Amino acid sequence: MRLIALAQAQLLDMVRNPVVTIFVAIIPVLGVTMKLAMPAGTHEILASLLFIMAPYFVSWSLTAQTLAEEKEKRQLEALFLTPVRPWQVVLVKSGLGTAVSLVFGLLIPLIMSRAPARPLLWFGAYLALTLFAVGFGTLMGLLFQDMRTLAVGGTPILLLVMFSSTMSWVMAKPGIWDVQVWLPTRPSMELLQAGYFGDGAPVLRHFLVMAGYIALLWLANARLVRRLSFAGR
Amino acid sequence: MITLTQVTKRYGKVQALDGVDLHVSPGETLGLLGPNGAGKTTAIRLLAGMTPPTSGQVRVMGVDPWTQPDHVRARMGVLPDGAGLFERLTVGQNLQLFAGLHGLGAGSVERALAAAGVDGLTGRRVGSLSKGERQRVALARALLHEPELLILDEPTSGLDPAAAAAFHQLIQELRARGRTLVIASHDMAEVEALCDRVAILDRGRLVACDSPAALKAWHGRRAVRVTVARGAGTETLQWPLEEAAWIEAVARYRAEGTLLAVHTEEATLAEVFLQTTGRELA
Repeated sequence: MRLIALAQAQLLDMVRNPVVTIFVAIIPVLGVTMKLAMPAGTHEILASLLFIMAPYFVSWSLTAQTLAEEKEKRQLEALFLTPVRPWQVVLVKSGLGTAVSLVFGLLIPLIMSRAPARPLLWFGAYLALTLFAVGFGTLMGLLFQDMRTLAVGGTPILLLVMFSSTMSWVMAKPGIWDVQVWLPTRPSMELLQAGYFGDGAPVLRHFLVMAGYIALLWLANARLVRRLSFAGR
Repeated sequence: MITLTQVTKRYGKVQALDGVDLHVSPGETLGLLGPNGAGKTTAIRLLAGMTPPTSGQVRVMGVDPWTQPDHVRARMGVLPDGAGLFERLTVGQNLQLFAGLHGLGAGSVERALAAAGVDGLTGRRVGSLSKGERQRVALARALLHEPELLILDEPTSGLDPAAAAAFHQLIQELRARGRTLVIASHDMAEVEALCDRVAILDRGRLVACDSPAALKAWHGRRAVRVTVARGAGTETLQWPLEEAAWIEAVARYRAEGTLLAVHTEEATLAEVFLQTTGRELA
């Protein structure tokens, strides 16, 4: 009952939050606009870009920004004066972030008018990236105390994690690729390419790398959640 | 209802509370008076089980709120400083959320809104409400589960005089219904008007705790002012209440037929605070 009440309120709040709406709506709007504007030969790059941006943007707005805002406005403190547990609040936020990210992930093939070549692999890769992005967004939301510090301190970290191992992907020399495949995002990127376009990739190794990062993130989050009830002191 | 025994709370190098002993009986209204940083909010966090004491013992309704928070929060309502409402949700949606978190039915929402006098605001978004209305909604939220103990942290801070007066009326009604209240405030008039006893906190220490009248009697200045006729005008004379001289003077002026008025003058809580802490309440 607590989780349902929390989820309902979070959903309502999310729908009425213009910042979240813009962050979330940017993915399909960007996808449709760019698909219409770009030549067909570049659509593979566009699809790859959307697959990376969707989970990060969704999780950033639904976990990092809402956590920071609720700390700043002392809404979390009010919640913690009820029998609700901090982990329940984080669970609902990350669950919503995961669900919305998956919905947008399913929208991307529709926007691109192309079904994944290996659907299971594609979905697994997208789910792994979503779990990582949601964990990362939650970590940022737990670490930063208000919206301003999140915007100033967290946004560069978001861009770094999102693009450092992927933007130079096409241009980087093979020696740099060897490093990048061990960084977060890039393994999921290659798995998504393999699942969507049928490219080759070391599937097991990439999944293991992402699983390692996801586990590390959520362990860190679990430690921070224990201290969450003291937020804003 | 509440017992603090030699409670100390430290945040790093900051001593937020230092050896505080306090007892609140059922049905009593206690005011926690002190400037910002005196330890009022820390005391409330301890009572709400949001943080453990560094040392000492906290008991609320017989249990330790840190180790048994659900037991305490089921019977305690808190109005935190800064209402902490969800501004994009309506008043009704805010209260439905918190009713759900307490495991209560929809009827509790209407009851709490009516108790706080905001039942006409159910469909309004919190973001569109005045500060006074928000405080009332936050009070309704604290009353949702009909708690025996109500803790109000700076309940009228930032409210205009009319909204503050209306809120005071609401608190008086809660007192009349026998609720135990703890009101943290730096507004001395508010504490004096609403509370049975006042605990003065200064830099984490409890420096005095008694009824407002007793505090003023023990720590403050009390004087007698005598106004007498002097020719065509008047003169006002003043003696400490404790000195017997004013009794003789009043008798003499009365016999002379020049006595116009006798007033007693009590110290204010501000003077009590100044005397007990050595500084003014900012």
